[in-house]
Amino acid sequence: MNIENSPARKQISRDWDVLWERYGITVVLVIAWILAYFLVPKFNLPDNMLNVLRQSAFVGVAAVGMTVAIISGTFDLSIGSTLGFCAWTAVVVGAATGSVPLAMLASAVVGIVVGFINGMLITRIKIPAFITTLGMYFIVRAIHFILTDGAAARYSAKDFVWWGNGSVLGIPVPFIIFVIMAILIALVLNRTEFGRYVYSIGTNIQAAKVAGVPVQSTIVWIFIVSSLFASFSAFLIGSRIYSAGPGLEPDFALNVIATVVLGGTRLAGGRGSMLGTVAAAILFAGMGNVLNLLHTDSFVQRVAIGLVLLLALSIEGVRQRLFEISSRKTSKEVKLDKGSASNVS
Amino acid sequence: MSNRFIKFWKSYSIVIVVLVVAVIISFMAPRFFQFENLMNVLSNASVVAIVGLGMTLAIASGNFDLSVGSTAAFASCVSFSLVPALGIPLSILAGLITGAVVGLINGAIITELRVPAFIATLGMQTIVRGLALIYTGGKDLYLYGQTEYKVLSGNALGIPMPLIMALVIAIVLSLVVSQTRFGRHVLALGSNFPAAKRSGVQTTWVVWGVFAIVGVTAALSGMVVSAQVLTANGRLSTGLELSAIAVVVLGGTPLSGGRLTMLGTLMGALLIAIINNGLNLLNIPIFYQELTVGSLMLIALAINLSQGFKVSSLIRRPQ
Amino acid sequence: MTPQTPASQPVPAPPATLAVLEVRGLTRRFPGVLALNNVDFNVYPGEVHALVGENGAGKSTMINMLAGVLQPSSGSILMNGKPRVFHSTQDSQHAGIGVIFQEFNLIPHLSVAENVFINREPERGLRIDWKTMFSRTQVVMDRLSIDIDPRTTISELPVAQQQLVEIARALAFEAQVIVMDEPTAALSEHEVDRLLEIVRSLKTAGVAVIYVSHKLEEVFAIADRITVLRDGQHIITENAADLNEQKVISAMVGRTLIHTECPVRTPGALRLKVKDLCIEDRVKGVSFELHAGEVLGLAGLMGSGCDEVVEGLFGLRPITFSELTLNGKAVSIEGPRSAIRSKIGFVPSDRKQSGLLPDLSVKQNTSIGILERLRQGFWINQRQELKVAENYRTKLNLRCNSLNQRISGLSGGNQQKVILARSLAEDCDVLFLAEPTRGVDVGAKAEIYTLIDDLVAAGNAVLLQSSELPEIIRLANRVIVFANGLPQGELSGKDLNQENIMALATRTKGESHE
Repeated sequence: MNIENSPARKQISRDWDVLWERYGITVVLVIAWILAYFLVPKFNLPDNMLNVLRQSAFVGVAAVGMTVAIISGTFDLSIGSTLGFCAWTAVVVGAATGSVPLAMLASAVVGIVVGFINGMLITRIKIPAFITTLGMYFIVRAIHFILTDGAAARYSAKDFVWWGNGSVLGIPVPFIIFVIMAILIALVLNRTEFGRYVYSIGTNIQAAKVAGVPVQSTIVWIFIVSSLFASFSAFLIGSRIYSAGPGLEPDFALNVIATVVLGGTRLAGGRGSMLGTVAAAILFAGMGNVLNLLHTDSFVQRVAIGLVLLLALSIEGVRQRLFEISSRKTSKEVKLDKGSASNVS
Repeated sequence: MSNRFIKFWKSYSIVIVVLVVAVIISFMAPRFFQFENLMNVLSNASVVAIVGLGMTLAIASGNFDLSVGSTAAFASCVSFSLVPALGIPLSILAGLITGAVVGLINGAIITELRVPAFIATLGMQTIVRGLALIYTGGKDLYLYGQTEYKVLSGNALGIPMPLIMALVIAIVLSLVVSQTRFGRHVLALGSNFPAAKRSGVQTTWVVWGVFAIVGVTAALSGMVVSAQVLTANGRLSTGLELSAIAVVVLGGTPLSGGRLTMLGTLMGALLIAIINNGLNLLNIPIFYQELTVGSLMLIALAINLSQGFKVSSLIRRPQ
Repeated sequence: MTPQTPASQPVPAPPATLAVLEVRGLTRRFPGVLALNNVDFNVYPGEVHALVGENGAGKSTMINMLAGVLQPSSGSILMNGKPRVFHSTQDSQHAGIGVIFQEFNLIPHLSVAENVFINREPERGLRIDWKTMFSRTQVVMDRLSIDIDPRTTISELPVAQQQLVEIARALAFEAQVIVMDEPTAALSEHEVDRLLEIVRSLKTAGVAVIYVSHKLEEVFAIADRITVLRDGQHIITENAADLNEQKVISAMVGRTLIHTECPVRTPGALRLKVKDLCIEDRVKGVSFELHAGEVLGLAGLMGSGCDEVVEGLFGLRPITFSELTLNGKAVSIEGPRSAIRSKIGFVPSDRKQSGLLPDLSVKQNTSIGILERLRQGFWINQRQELKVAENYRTKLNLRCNSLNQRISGLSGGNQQKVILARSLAEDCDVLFLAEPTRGVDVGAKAEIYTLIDDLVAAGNAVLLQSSELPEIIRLANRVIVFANGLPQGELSGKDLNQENIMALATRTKGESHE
């Protein structure tokens, strides 16, 4: 329902938009990778590059789950503490039972439970997602602290730590899992009923409701997915560093959300790019790697990454602002919204 | 009759809860009512209250600030570092200015880049804390023997300074909100942003002003804590934002904006301080405190929300 | 494409004074529609000039231009003889025009006085000068004999009084012209009288009032002159004394129907039966029977409640009733999902808000309601989905580049067809259609009408809610007309014509007893 633009102009600008959203960050990644390959000393060592891929998976797997949440127009701030709690669960159960499958299962169950609670609070008690997940972040963290007394748990059995540290045919296991998960969820999003419902809720929740989409139960499932994938990340991290305690990765939620947004999925929901999420995760890991190789102070790294995060999150807002500024030149119709005018034409 | 009861309950329920809790705790841990302990409680409550009062303003205007913890740390680091050069009074001022600047940047990100408040401040949380760590090189800043700095945390005539500051700030902000154009506009933004904007209210300036105030209160809170131990570092006040939001919610200020109660925030801070103190006296591990605060906040919210957003729905015609 | 309109009646000779607000050749174009076409209008100090027309006549467009929300495509606005351009609502306010929209611009948590003086609060140094603000507000209130304490918080006031505050605000701005858009939509009889008294005091105070309403009884009670718009064009402007309801209604609807007559239908089995349907206190006493093979129309102007009835029956609003049966069996419809399961389909009136899934493709929009059926194991059977979409593409003559293109790229008419296809794919026997051709071009409109005819002939039952009179006459065999939340009567056969519908639809509350 645009005003001044002709249909042809609209179509062209929309095509560019879509292309950028889907592939933009991948292109940036490729360019950045090539630049780093030639310009940054020691980057091009095979071990180093594989390490970047490995690193990307720890945030990346959780980002796959978060992509689902963001496509549906919401987000999950609780995964920071879910991460630590699930990692700890995996380590403890692994150490206690000596069984890696049980450790995985236990970690996943915890993730599912947290996600379920989030979903219930949001759909039944109608507390906004932002508050619910923020509150859960602190509550889960507190419970974790209480259970562990602040101490970390350790488990270093070979078959446990293989998941985070091993490789298959040279490719790091976490990265393989990351890619498999990304493909799997991309298929779910595009080819299943549930996936369709996720998109429809994100694009217009009212229309979805009217069209008969089971909005409430879908939202609960979305939060379960988000927490579950955080638990997968947790398992990999716990396996990687042989231990897990409270206080693991304090900015995790922010990193994950920014990865998804940088990858081209808009915070407003309705559209998403799993390829973008994967590329953005690799890009962030690469950035951290390059900063390390350049001997940047770790605190500066933190600020640098924080700035990129903020930039990623503000892309939508900046674009909207640019649109507003350009359309102010044509006319003032942007103000025609329900608040100021009656709906009769 | 029941309408008046509801109004009374809405305004004063928190006071009653505080009294009840205090009584319960004093039975369970008799040491609670010792003078020194009470002063301790009041002091701790004040530290959170100070930043909570700023947060109350932000929430009433329809915003959030998740970066207050980082701001507190950064401001006290900056302040401490400038003591040798500027002396104590000016360096305290410098710390407050730092807080204001961080707040202004938050405001600018929100108004100019159109980033939602909680995301903007969430990002700033990381950045500012990183800045604090860079600034201090990860080390502690210690003020040897500069006990004048303790003016922020010590006692004046037996009353803890933080308490006096909290009360003064509460009074000043209450007056600003009830008597100045700026204050009324803060409420207008939270009550009905589009209508305010259409009526010509300078929403951009109001948002900047609100976040600057939040930044200053966060800085002050951080400096008080640092003054208590004469040490500042980049890891201070982590989690301050949760406490700040919790005391606002517990105090009865609605998250939907348009209305606030500074007294409620003070009471909320008092309640949490009392509960934490009680847990301490009963030797319950410190981790339970965060659990308590988080759960209380969610419970208060659920109650808050169940009362509904009746106000804004009154403005719309039945269509 | 409107047929030729009757020549505009000449504007009566102006009194000696200059018109305070004048509009010449005012035109406003939107893509695909000419909302206002070369309209002339003026109003004098101390005059109440009513602006009348059905939905879509152009009233809101004109108001929005006077308020500075929209810019004219061509034409001019003159205040006291001087041409003015309004880039913002502030511009229009400063020029002396106060517009009171249906949705108020009030701040609920602040007091009456603060709202009246928002952004211009009198100050003494840093402090607000409460005394001055309250007393000046009181002065304005007294001028209008309004009995509201300036200290009251807006949220504590009933809607009718909030409206009075809006009027006071306009006056405090020293408005010379006050525009009221459907002011009595939410008011009780008593409050309407009160409002009309206020309007009279405005008149005495020399303020010009533009009163936009379709409640003809009120219009005739208060207006000095009446202007009728239809399809964006100016039809007549006359002194109220020289007009009567009949003439106004004719002017409002007077167009020859270019569509063919409604086909004869033979209703079959009883599908839906409703008795004493109520929606909170806004809609009462709705009862009807809907049979297979028929179209039952629900007609009414904005705020009449007919749209709510349809939404309520689909589970989108809380309803109470004494009887609700589907195919003879009692049903309870808790929400859209259970409605669809009961084989009821719904095409909502506002597709932008409640119909379209804008980021999804045409194919996906079509299949959203039948995904359970298209499923094979975990996966959606993509070939089947495509087949279904193709099927409806041909059936509905859908024009789109590809079924995989985003639905937001289609024209309004084609978008509407997709939403319709969605319900058809669900295999419903009862179809609720709300404003089915709103924002749809003429060609697509005709196609949709034919489609509805076919559907009904095949045995479906259709409940049609529309505020477009030609449409409802073309499609429905019988029509229940609503006003003020009550059914006013049923029309069919020879009685089913625009004048009769409009006469029932413009009844005010006092006339509602049958």
